[in-house]
Amino acid sequence: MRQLVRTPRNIERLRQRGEQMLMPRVPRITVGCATCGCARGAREVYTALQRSIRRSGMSVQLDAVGCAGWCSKEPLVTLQLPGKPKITFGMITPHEVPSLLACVQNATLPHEKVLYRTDGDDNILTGSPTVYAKGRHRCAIHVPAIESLPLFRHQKRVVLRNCGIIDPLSLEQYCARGGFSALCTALTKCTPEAVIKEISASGLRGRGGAGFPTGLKWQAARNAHATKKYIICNADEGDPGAYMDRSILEGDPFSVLEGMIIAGYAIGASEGIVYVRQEYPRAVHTITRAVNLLKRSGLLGSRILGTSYRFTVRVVQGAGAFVCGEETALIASLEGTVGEPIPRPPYPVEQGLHGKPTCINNVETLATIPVIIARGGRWFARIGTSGNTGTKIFSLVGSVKNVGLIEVPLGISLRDIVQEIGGGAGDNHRIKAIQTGGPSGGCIPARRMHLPVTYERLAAAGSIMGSGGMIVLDESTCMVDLAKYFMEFLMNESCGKCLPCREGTAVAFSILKKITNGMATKADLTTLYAVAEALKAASLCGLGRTAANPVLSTLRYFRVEYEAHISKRQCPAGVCRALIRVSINPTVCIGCGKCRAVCPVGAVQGTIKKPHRIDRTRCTACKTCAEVCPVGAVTIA
Amino acid sequence: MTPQDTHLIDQILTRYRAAPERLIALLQDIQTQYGYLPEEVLRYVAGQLKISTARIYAVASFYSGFSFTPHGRYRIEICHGTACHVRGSTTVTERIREVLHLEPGQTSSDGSFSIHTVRCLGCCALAPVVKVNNTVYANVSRQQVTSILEQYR
Repeated sequence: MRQLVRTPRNIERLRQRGEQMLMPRVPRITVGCATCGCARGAREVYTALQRSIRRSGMSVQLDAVGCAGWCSKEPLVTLQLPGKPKITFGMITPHEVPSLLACVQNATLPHEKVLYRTDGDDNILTGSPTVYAKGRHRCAIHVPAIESLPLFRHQKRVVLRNCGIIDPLSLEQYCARGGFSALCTALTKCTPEAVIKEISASGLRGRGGAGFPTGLKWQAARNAHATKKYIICNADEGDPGAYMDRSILEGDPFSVLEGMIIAGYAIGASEGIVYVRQEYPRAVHTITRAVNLLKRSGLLGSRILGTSYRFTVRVVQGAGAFVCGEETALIASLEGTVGEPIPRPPYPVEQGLHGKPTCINNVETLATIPVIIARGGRWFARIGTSGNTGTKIFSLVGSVKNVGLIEVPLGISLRDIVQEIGGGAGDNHRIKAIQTGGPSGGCIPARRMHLPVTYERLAAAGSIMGSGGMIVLDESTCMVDLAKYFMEFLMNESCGKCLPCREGTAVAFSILKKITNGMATKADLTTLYAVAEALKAASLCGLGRTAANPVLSTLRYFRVEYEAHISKRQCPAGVCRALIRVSINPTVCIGCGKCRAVCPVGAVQGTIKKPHRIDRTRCTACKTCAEVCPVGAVTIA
Repeated sequence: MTPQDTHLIDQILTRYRAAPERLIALLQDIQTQYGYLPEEVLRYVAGQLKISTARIYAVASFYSGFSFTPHGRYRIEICHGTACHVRGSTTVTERIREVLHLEPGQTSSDGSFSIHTVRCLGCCALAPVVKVNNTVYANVSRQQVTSILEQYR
């Protein structure tokens, strides 16, 4: 397919073609084929559908789309019959393909796997929704509407506007959802200054973690005098527990590229680089193909949309270093050297890649740009709260019923996110804390769930917004063990350039290890505090300066747990192996022998139908016996 | 290095116009080709780029994505992201170590398996996650480990 897009009219033609693809006269089936979907077998479902459709000779449009966000129900398949509401099915296997296709032919639905119906999709960029069906339809009368589901009710999908709806590599479908209209407006109707003014008016803050106002950053980059400037899309999403950038790159890559072209125009850059982590092969693949498609269509290169503006983009893969999410380290990595940060100022917007002004924005930030240009900064600023405008994507994972990727207006309370959208903890579990902000963040206890999610309030509570990871923890998580986990992560990922971070993380880790082994004294806690302060005060970059957050926040809210480890040699959550004892209650044990069969070290002894016992000298406290015991006879203390 | 090797590396060098600032991408391509970074290849590359082998070694050893030893035919990556950690990735790793008698970073003597603990794979909703080559296994429990590995024996 080689079609040149040289004028806004070409975009209009693409849009019209795309509308026919989104609302075809034939049935349309979409399969969520992002990484999480594929992990649950979406590819197999897609192939099975493809084969069956071809074999039956049916006229069906089959599209692989990105992630719709309900990750616990993957693979998600959506069925859209002309004039009828869109129906989404969850946890589909290849075996169910024939029955799915039977519903296409008979226009009836199997009800057991139906999740929800969509009567229309909001079209954020144009403001006019895509309506699939009007009124009530008999076939879908018992299917809950998407708006009625707690998972979606509180969401506002601005950045994820296209994820799960369009084929990520179809220019037509992207345009049908209002894609590139913002680019037309920016390039043909706005001066670069006007674009920056609009972004400033929106109040958008960088979604990578620090929350620096994007408009200010762009203005600084615009003001820098240089013959060449760069714009970098930071897709080195390293925070464990966060995957929104991956999802955007896999589900809607053009939105990021459109944001980049607009950003380049605003600051006067001619070259863009997408720096994406290699651990995301599918995201790398999708964004690379998207770049090539735009190059071929003329939307990247010289004379974009008939203007004199020239902009190119290349994709660069990271090589597996967490610190490269830090902007100066990222630049070092792009220059082919070790990814070690350098002190700022000068900031990259003044002196960055190859010494030229470089503006670095996160994936989510860039994907927001087209919306602000299309709808106006003031429209965007009305979402969220003052100072924290717009929406933010969170990966809601851990001990929560509805795990998935959600997008909510900023200022919403943690309780609304976890209880309403997430549906609370799983059965028989109680939420203990919420971890936000990855290794630079902290743990907020359940009793402070009324907290509104804003950059400032999370920081005041000892955590940070970060890139949006939100891990719900229940009573089975040991807070000391979690602090140790983060410290080990940071110790391994510290680049080693500055002493406070290199040594501080190592010392803190060894103390935490001592605590979880039951070998620590109260004096160790004092040292831990001192190390934490030193890390914060003296480290060169953000990695070290925030490294103490997980420790300090758990000490602040869960000091009792630390003390139990130190003074009582107990791990209240039953996690730290050196401190727990696994035993079998002989009055409850039925002697089924299941635990004996699974014990990896042969520590369980006993004969069938007689109470079993555990040999403590062999037991490694792996708790496998507790997992298989049908009567709950295994106790952990 | 055989003449084929030289030809191959020259092609990769041409792709990046033998520019030292593209070193990481260059090394990634070499690793894709060989599965690891062979020493003689790095020496050759250093000569062609007119930089020291030590500099290449500094860069390659800094990033966890590079390896100086071949990994197994089946590369097992166990995600140790936060969600996976709180959902039991440690016990999954332990089980894989027990079954294969390997430590993370090691390759089995017959070259079939190597195990690696990795930072977040971005499938946090499906934690704990294990990846074997390009196949991702979701919600892996300790008990499932044997049956997953059995498929590759």
